[in-house]
Amino acid sequence: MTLVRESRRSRARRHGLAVALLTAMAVILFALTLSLGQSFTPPVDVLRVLLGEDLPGVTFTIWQLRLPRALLGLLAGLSFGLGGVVFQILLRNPLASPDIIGISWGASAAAVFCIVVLSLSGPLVSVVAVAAGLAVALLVTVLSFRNGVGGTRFILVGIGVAAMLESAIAYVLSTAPSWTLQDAMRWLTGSLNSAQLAQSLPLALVLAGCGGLLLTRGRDLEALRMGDDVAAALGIRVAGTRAIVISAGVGMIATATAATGPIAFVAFLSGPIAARIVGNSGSLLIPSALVGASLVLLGDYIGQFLLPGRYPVGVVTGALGAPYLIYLIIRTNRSGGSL
Amino acid sequence: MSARSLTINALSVGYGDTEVLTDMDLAIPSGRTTVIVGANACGKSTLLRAMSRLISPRRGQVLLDGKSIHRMPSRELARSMGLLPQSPIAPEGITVADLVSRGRHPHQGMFSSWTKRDDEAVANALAATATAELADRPVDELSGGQRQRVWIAMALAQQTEILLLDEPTTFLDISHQIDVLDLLMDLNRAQATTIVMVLHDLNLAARYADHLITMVRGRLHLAGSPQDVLTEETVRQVFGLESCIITDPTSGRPIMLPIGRHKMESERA
Amino acid sequence: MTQTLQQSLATNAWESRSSRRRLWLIATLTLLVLLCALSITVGTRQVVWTNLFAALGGRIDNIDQAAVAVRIPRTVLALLAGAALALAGAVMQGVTRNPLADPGILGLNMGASLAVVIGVAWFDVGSAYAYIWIAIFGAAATAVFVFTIGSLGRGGATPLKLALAGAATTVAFSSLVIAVVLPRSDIAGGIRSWQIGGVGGATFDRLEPVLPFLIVGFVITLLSARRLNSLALGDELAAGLGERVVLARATAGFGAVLLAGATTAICGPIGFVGLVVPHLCRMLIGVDHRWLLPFSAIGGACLLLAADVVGRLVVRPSELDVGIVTAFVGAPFFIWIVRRQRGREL
Repeated sequence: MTLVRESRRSRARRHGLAVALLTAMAVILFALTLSLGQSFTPPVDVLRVLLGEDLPGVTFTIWQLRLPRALLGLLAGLSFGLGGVVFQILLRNPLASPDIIGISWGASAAAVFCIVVLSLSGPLVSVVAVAAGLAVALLVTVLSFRNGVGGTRFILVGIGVAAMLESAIAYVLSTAPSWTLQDAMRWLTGSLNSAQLAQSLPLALVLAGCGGLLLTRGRDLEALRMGDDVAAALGIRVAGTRAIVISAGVGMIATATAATGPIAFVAFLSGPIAARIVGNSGSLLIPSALVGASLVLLGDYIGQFLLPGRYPVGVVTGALGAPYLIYLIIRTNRSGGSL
Repeated sequence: MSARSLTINALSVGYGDTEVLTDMDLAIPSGRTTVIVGANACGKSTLLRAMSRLISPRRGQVLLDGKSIHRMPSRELARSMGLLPQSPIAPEGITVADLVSRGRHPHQGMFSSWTKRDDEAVANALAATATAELADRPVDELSGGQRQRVWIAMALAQQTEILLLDEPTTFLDISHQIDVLDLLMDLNRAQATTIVMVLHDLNLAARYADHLITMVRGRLHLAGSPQDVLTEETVRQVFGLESCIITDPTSGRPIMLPIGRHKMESERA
Repeated sequence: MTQTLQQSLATNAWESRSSRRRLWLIATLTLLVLLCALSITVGTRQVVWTNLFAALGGRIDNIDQAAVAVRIPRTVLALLAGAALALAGAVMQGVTRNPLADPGILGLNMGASLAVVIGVAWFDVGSAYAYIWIAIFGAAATAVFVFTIGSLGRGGATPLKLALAGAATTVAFSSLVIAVVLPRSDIAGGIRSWQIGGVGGATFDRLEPVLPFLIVGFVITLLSARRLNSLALGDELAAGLGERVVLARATAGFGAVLLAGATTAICGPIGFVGLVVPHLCRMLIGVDHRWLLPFSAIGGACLLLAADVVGRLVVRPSELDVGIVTAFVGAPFFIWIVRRQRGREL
């Protein structure tokens, strides 16, 4: 009895500590992005500008350049991290993240099509991207349906759909009259280079809505990790939970993708990294969102200032993520386990 | 604990074009141990899954205290009836205590916090299955027999009056099979839990069942006490096998000995 | 009495089968010739017959004849690349006993791309032969790598694990390609050709260095048919039948890598040909590799020629790279194969 209570409390303490640590990390990186660029702005000045003071030179840098970038990076990172981990938990496979099973590519392809072919811009692009993301998720579900949706079939069908969408993006980009490498980078690997403050608002709203919905399902998701049968025996409506979680996850991922492009590997890496940090002390949802935010902010910072030449964030997270991805496959396959 | 009655009424279940269960009528005696046996693919696992609402019937219903389980809120059902499927998945690295406490899920609301009752239920489940000393060990490191005990502990923490188990002894060696079945009997005796399980070993089924059910091609074949049900005729009809039934000297239950085509007394002579 | 009956039944079945195979062989060869003709005659520019024949005779007097002259090496390349990729796919499916094996899906093509890009960007590799060697090295390293990580753990190399390992490796390599190329503005323009494969811009001069590699690859893979037949029964049984399993795998796999690497060196990564064609051929003529391999080669040539012709026609006046066409044909086919598999086998 005391043993049980003690082990539960120590788990809760560890989880609390991990969340606090990850929050601190994300906040520090956010502050870093605001105060450290081509030139250094003391944090005090940053705060004064944000509170409405007008400091010559600094005000423009913060409000026009750094804040939009930092905010978009933070929100997109949270969305990718949370959206990615719910897919991984739901399908019980770390490789089942939206960037591997085609959902991010659906949103990206729709955004590219809207911008390049239809010359649209603004919130309409986000709306279409979300619709396309949901449509791809639905398509993958329908195509993998045979006496129920098998997890492995879902992933494999997703890989096929992703391959098709990637070629579609590459084709649309190659026909664009003003085809630039910048655009291609954004829609193929993700970038914060054209961040504007207005982009953050829809993303924040969607994150609050879908993210909130997902957090209320945290316990159900934990139970689903033990298999559909066990979860059902514990009183969870498996199909209903699945539908809600997938819709909310797709909504977040697609909105973020419409703003920044599919930032490579963030959705995929956040969950497993969070799992390393948190262990089995509790829910992965919030830790994973925080890891996602840190990854995007850190990747963007490295790409902008720490490397010779400027790289978009997706190239950095892609290159950093590749070895980790391969390590993860090796580890997962060896133990035959999940996340 | 009040005894709950579980009955099955004209139940038919199918996938696609094939019908797996046809017109099953069955009453599960409450507070007793019921064992379902039958040849491969006779629908015994499907019956268990239909009883726990994992699949919906085409016709007929499963009634708990006279109410259709398909009309009950899922949490309420999960507080009355637990299920241990054949291959549950332990999240990697999860500890025994954590896994067992997952069984408390149906007793908790969306935001309600963990209570003393929850701790008690988990502690009791660990004690009943003799897994308390494993509480902080990761489940992946346990042996097959220990792992099965832990899963049973999780189902116990759910504190249900009815417990359904799909082949709880598969992949265990014989001593652990007996161990797990003895554990289930203890529970059945101590808390009057109604136990329904699928077993593939006919002799273990006859040994541990209060009530033995045989199935043939998706239909109920016989139901009753092991002594009445397990006969040479039954074995012939259910498994298509000639056999010889004798009485176990220790338990007084019937034992089935298969008769093949070779190594007979007559052959030797 | 019964024995002779059984024997004659078996012989009849055998004969009807091989006559059906001969029929299909004639049909596919006819199709191949037709597609070659189509590939030379059809294009963005309409060419009249007189100019067509003049160009085939080697004359380049006007624009039309020049257009046709460009189409000839292009057709040859599509034919060779298609045959090589399909053959590589068929062999890889046999070596890994995995229905989803394909040089594109398992990441070989992207591995070859990455190796070439690194060679060009960091080591100033320029000669055509060096390109091919590097591409083959990249494909081979990737094959070993993906197969190793895919076969770790419980159950060996299941289709799911291999496909995931391949897909993940492809994603990883594709972002590494970008990371390598991006800072080099001098080669960044060519980034597209290392992401999407195509057969446009082929000349006989560029084709020539790759020929020896392809020929060796064709010979090795076609000769390994009998070994693949034994391997299909499982490693233990193959060893029981007297096959040296590791050696058989290594040689056949090496042949497949040669073909995939050499093709990628001139065309860039072209996916799904190696997946689609062997599956279709298996449906037509069965699982005997002695027939399956040559059939796959012919079928692959047909598919890539057809894809190239379609790519030239659908978005006139511009062109669609053949890699995009095969992705759009191949991905639905891939999904169809996934759906056909029984759930447990995945």
